[in-house]
Amino acid sequence: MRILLSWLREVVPVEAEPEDLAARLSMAGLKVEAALRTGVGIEGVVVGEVLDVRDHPGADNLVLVGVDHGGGRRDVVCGARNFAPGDRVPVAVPGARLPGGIEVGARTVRGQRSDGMLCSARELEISEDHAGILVLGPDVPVGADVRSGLGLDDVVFDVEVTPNRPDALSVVGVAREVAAAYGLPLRVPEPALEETGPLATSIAEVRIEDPRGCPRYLARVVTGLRIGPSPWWMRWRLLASGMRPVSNVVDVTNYVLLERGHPLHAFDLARLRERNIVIRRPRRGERLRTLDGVERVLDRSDVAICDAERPVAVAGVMGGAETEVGEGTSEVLLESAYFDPARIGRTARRLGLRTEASIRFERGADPEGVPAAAARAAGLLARVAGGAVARGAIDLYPRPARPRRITLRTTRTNALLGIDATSAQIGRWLASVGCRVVPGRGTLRVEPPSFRPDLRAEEDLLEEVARLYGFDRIPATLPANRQVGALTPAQAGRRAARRALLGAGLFEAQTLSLLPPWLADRLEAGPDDGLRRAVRVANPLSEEESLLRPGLVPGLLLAARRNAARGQASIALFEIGTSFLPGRPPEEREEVAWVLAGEAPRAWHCAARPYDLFDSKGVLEALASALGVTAWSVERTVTPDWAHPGRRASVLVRGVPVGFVFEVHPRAARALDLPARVVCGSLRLDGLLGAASEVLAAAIPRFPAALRDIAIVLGEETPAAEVQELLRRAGGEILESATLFDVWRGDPIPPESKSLAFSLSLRDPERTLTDADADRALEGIHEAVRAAGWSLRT
Amino acid sequence: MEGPGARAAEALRDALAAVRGARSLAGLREAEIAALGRKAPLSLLKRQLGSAPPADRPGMGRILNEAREAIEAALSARREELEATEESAALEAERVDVTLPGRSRLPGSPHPIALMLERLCEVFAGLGYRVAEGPEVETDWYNFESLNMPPDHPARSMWDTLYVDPSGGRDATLLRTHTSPVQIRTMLAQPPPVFIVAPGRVYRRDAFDASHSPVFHQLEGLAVGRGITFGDLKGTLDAFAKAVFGPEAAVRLRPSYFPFTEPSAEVDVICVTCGGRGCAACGRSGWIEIMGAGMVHPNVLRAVGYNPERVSGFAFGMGVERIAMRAWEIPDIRMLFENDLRFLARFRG
Repeated sequence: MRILLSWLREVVPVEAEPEDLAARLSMAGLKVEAALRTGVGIEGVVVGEVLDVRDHPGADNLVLVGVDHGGGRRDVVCGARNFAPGDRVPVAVPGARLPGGIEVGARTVRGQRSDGMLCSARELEISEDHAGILVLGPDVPVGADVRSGLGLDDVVFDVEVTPNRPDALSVVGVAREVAAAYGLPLRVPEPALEETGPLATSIAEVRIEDPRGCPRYLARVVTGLRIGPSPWWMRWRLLASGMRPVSNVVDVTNYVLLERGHPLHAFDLARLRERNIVIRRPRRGERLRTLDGVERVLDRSDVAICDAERPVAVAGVMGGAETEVGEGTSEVLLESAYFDPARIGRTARRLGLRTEASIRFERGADPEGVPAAAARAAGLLARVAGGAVARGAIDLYPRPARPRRITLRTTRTNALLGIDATSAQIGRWLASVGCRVVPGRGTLRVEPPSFRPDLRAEEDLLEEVARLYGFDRIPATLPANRQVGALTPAQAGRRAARRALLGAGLFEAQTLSLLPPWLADRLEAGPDDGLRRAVRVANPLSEEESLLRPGLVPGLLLAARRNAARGQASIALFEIGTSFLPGRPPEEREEVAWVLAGEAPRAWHCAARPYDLFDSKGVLEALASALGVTAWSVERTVTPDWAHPGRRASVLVRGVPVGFVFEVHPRAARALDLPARVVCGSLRLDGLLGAASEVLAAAIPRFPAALRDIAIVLGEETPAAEVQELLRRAGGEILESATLFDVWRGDPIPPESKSLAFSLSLRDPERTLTDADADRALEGIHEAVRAAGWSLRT
Repeated sequence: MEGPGARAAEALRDALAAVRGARSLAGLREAEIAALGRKAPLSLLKRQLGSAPPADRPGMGRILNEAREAIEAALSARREELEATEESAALEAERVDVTLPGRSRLPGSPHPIALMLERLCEVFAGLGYRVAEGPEVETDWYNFESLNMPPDHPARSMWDTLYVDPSGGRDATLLRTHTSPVQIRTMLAQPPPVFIVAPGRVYRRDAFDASHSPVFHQLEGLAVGRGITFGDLKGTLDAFAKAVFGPEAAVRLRPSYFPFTEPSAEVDVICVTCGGRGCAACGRSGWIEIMGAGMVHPNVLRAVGYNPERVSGFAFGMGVERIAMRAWEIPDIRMLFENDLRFLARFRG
């Protein structure tokens, strides 16, 4: 809400500096986002009258304008055409200055001399409007300086109004807060109304058929209007408040909206069939072309303002084009009403139309302010458009709202806020914002004003007391809390996993949980892949963010891709976060995932090499080790289908699958502009943490181990894990560990075979092993190897 | 006089010269053999001792022994010298370029959001709060209705919501717009007192720009118990601000509106750039808005079966990205989701 300081001061006699006023309003809950000084930097811009407008001979989009600003004729080249001879416009003569330090000079535009320029509202920095030249209105004197003569020296406050305070969406509403904050009187402009001629009820007829949607409807009739531009004072206030002047009649309704916060609408009475207004629910399929030119189909839940035959306005949101006030209008029906906030809100959302009216009705207008708003507008119509106001108003208010009465307990107020106020003080504060207060014993009976829909229960008044007391004056204390802060095992485990992955040299990523559908196509994911079956957001803002991630790896691939595009040769990222599986509701899993792409970190002491699957397994090992998970294994698998078919494995913890490690299929990597070798892994964090073991202070072995190496030659197809398992069984309890330390193919190993070398550690916890003991154990292992059909390499 | 004494003296002189003149351990070995070996002059003299007149024997024997001891001492001294020289030569040959980098895999860097969340949780753990978590796909009831926002409540438009399945009224599923549903779930699961912080991802139907992201993180806090006051909220937030922004930090509460708290406040922290005097970073106001807060609305307490006449509480919620951007001078929220390694590497340690 933009509030013009001079307008505010007309309603409340506040002398404070704008900065002080802004700070006080902010601390009262009306945050002043900015205080803009208007008129600053404008020098030498004067009012000129347009004499004639001719086409520019050298350019189709330019015109030559003859203006008189009191010093004779002056010709100016201009790019806009929104004015006609007789209009008064701001003329910046050579030597003039505009905001931002721009100096205007005489110049030649396409061969025509331009002796200055005409200004738009934006060029004068009084509004955002740059659609045309600012037309000032017939009442401004030619030759006047626009800054001093037109009152441009002012301040506009940009006030952020919270949705519970529709009353503050107006000059009067903000002035009321100023009055309460500074202890000043409020002077709401009184409607100056002179009624003439026949009774309004004899001219038009109003019927409410939907009293729930429209509890109150008041119509006034004004005849004999002369449509034209409004006077400058009104145009200036609309402009400075961010509205565009249209015509005197429309401007009056907007002016009253800004002044009192009550939306009004003017219908061209002659276009209302049978001069009737009926407020009802729309019939099935009823349509209306609204003021913005859009044809809209109404819904049963809307409130329709109709004439004898058809809808003429979407109540509380926007009027219809058919009955719009225009050049030929001479009589209007002025609507001032109160509509059901929930219904208006639903309609505005359904139509995607947020208007100045709908915002106020949706949040709650003042049903008791209906007559005054109409009277004020009628009075202004008489003043600025020469109208005659018909006698009386048609005021339908079948079930007047009963005033709310709320009991406020003083002890509870003090206890909850942590203050020590008396009932009398509290009563005075509430009275300062328009509440009627009747003191009781330890309580106050409070009747909030009708323009404060937010004050409905005790807690609402409590907030009002805190606000009026001043949040900054409430003493700061700490609550008594006997609980010990601690992490749950899962939270501690997640933290340990993060630390392990950071220690393993990976960088932590945060990728979006929302993915684009094209990713599945690029990866050539099959129909059963998680990406194809991902949960879709019902109303995504864009397709790029329309799927809930079924896993973390795809998002990490996109992050790796961005890094590769930015020249990173070695990429190692991980993320811990939620993935979503289809279901109602979707199943959520906490996952840890990583992606390694490009080269392993290069160094002078080792050869350059690309990451491969075993780097990914290394990450897995580091993670399992950090979390104390020992009972894990991997086995070859066939998913995902966008993995390298020979390099993908599922990870099992205690025999239960908890995730994967794999290389991305080179074709998929290429499709994402990634290096050829991209390896990744993903694990369910709960699956991993479930097998985490507590640290036990196990005894360190007292007796030495005997170390023996063994090399086994076997077929290429046999996985190392199988050999490992055989060793474990054959070695029995005495075999403490078997560590694979070499894999060899080629001479002297026959083709299609490989040699796996293990370092065996043999230990008896009870005594020192003799060489003979060790050799006996080793012989047993040798036999088992031979029995498996493998041979020993010596 | 060409007696045995003179020959012994000559042999000793020659031997000492050879030992001291040895240039290597091998040369020293040769000198040792020459001086003390079987064919050495001193050995010869010793063998001839038996044929010397008996009266001369003790004197002669002593001379020979002394000569031998002198040679051995010289050998030992020279050996030490030569060993030291040879070892230092060998070590010298092993000299490396000490400026070459070490062999290690450097650790990665935490993400600033995770880093900040961890810090924030630690601050509140220190104040006795536990960390509570909940699902990211929520129902309408948990995200809105239980938080005093019945259907058609105008405040619902404060959040542009992403829906998973918009049908089903209060069972409609959506991506939570705040972590407040965790507060509800926690209160439903336990009686008061409750002291929790709820960190996590939240979603809005916002387009990406410098200050908006459809996905971001929040940290909310909730304290409910007997006699908890608005003053307690102020004190807690002040302690929080000092822990996160430094001992000079101060907070200011401004009246505001949220459906689930009353009174509600926007919380400003004094601008660290200008110390509250007003600068470009704080829009000349001296204060920076960091979170929303307030006393838990009685309707929220009722929705979880708490009695608002017996317990009261406060809640607060902050955008973690916003705090991180402020703390580390990150100009654009998108940088937090691009995962550029050059950016991430800034947050080492």
